[in-house]
Amino acid sequence: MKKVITPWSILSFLLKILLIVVFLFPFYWMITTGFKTYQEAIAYPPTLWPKEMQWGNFVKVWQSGPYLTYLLNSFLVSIGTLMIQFLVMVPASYAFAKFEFKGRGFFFAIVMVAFMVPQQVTFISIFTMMSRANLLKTLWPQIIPHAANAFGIFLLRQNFMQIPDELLESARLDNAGEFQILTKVMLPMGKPTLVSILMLSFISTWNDYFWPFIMASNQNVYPLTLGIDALRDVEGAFDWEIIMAGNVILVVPIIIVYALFHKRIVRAFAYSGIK
Amino acid sequence: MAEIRFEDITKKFGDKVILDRLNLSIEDGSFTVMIGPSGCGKTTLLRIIAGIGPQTSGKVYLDGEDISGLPPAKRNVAMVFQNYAIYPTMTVQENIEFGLKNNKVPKAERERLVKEISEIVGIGDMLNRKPSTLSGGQRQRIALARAMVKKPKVFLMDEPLSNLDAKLRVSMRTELIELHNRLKTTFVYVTHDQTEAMSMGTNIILMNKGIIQQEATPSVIYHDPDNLFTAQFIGSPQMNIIHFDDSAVCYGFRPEKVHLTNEPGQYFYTRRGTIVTKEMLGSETIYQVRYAGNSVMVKSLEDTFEQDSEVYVGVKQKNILLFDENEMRIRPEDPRYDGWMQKL
Amino acid sequence: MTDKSIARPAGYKTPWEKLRPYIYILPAMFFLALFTVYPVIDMVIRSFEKWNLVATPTWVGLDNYKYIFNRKEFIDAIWHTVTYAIFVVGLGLSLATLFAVWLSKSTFMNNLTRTVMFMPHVIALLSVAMVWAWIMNKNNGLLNLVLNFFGLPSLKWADSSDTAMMSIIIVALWKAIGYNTMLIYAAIQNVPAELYEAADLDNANSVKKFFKITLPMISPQMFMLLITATTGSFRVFDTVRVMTHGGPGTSTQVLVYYIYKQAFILNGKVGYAFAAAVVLMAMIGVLTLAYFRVLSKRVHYQ
Repeated sequence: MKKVITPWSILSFLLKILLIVVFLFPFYWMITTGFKTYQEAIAYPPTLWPKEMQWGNFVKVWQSGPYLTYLLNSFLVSIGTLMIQFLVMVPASYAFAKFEFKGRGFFFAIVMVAFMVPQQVTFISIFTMMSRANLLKTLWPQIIPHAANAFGIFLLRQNFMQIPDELLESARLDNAGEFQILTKVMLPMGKPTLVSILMLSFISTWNDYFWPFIMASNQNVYPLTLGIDALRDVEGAFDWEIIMAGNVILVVPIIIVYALFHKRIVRAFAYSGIK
Repeated sequence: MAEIRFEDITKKFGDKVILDRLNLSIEDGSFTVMIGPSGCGKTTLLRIIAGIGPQTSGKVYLDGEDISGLPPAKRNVAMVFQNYAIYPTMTVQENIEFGLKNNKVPKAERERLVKEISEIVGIGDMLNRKPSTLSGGQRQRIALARAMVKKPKVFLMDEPLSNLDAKLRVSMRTELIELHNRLKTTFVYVTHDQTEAMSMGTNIILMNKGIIQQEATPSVIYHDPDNLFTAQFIGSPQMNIIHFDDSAVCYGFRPEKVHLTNEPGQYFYTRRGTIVTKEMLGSETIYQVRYAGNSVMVKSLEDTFEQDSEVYVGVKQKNILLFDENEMRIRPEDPRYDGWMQKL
Repeated sequence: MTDKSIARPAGYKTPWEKLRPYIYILPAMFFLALFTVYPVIDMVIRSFEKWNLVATPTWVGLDNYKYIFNRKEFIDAIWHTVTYAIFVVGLGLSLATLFAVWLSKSTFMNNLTRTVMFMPHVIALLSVAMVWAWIMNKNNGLLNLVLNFFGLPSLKWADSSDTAMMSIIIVALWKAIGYNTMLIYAAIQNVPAELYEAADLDNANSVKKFFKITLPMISPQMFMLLITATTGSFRVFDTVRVMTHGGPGTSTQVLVYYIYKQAFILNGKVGYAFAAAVVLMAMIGVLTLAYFRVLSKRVHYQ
């Protein structure tokens, strides 16, 4: 197949380069700014690469607040949410997919409706709930309201429904108990979907700003996102190089994971959108 | 006329070579069937004619004209796809007239053509329906109508019947033959089903791994195969093939050409063996006879022979085919013929 | 404990077997009831009450609603939200469709472009907003430097009520376009290649192929994307909080921001926040209902 070079193909190529620059450059800018001094960051003409790598910026970020705590909180909340979602989602999806029981339609309808209710609507009530239960100073308000991942239940149920009933029947004939059926038959076959759902959940929890913003009442329970936000309130004028350095900490791990696993990640996001 | 000619056609997918400098002519007005195992290149060739999967190098001629670089729409060919490729979001009418509309055929003419063709094909009363409401057979007819309305020089068909149920397949087969007789246009038909090939084609092109094994009429391909592959591909049960001792040369005969007798007969080739299995099919019986380490299938009208009984197989000389060490046929005119025949 | 459901009359279930599915869905239902159903009911009820989070609430009927609908600030908030949604979704989807078709062949360049465009989606909106706030900084930001380089005047971006909305829309587009493009691209991949081949034989040009084959065939996914993108736009908060705090003035105050302010900043006005939240939910609910309605009619299916 001979490749024909037309004016359009050249223009097309250049436009794609332009797109790549438009979508990559802000990240590049963020990372390099994080390594510059304040003077260099605001210098005109701007420098493409820091004159000297200011690792000190990161130290300043680290020292501007209990950063270890922030990091730890992010991990605890993300992993905790994952785990509780897993425990809640799997049996529910299994039941909806493979069992017949009275009210199944009704209960599943609740799942679908919940799917459409955003947290921007429920946050006030949940906040007062947490306040009354005296949990505001803990990490729990960031974890348990997300325990029931309606979207995940929906997707996993879809996936489970495609597992042939014959597999379950032959397992029962082989004297397998319910727990074994779940762990040896359903879970292995549902693994790809489950992994995708949990991966999406981890990323969205790690990146979440709004929810911890509402629920975290003191610094000790801030996750990383709030910690980075707090950088902006340092000393009135924005220390852009410090703020960018902080964002680098938040963002670079995700960029690395994306660079390595982008195929898998994109598939998880894109195909969960397909009905 | 609408003769199709391939000249030194090569087709590569990346590094994989499917066709290598293939040369072939397809006769005008014929119903040419291209048949062969999966991956043999038959569909590739079809798509080269259509222009939707162009050749890597080489030329294609239609009606004497070089169509090698022409876009599919300008080649005056029509194609019926295996999965019909009917536009799901358009009505039957819109499906059929889509090509006409794009070619700026005036509305009145379009409507007349669509009506005429859809009547012939038998979908005249479903013009306003959507394909999703129709059965597989009906969708196939829409695909056919869409092809016919173009009044092409060549009809290309890519296993059009393989997604239909058995009964429908048989009736559609007859319809297609009638259509061909009526239109007298060149039909190029790809299939892997030899019953279709043998019953529908005026010419058969048998391919394997991108090489043409034989092109001939069904009768010739059946009775006078050029090589071992052809002999074994066509015919069910397969032709019996037996090798000469310590030799790559072999001989063969078709199951229905074997005579079974209780006493040794007066046949050129006579052997004594035991009946190992017997399959009663009603109108005929298939026996498996074993002798001298060979297993031979026999198709007989007699069902009286019993399993495990001793029996004599006999074959007339003219029904024995010889194949040399390159799997090529040794015909009676060949000097080697007598030598090998004597060994039997 | 194992259940050997073999030697028993058909349809018979032990009490344990009957109970089992309910136990399986119990945790999910518990959390959903507690954190979705209850808050929604609570919110609706409280929207009819006056409350300052401390004393007992008093019933005031539709007073809260009357109040907020009389406030320019609230009407503006709705208007801002809708404007934001129209631009982000309108531009976001049309550009994404263009990109998806343009980049639909699987070449190295196309795959690379799509992959890079998608990346902003997995990055925290907070960080995206922050880096763009920096790039759009009116004094030292890169964007103004580039504009000046081409002889164009600097813009105040997030600092001016004229350009603030545009700024947050740009940020939203930058984050979402790659995701939208990916989704539409995936939908396009599902269109059987044979249809395009048949169209080639039917002398259809690229434009015809797009409008008569591609678009109808991907319309289910497009429609779903339309609805999720729009309801998602209604819920915007992070960007506004980071870049503009709803300002300058209230020029970028969107509905969620308004709700947040009423509930947490201004004291004793929680009733208004609930009423506004009910309005938000109604907006999302109406759209979703419209989705299911139109779903059965206009969208083309196999």
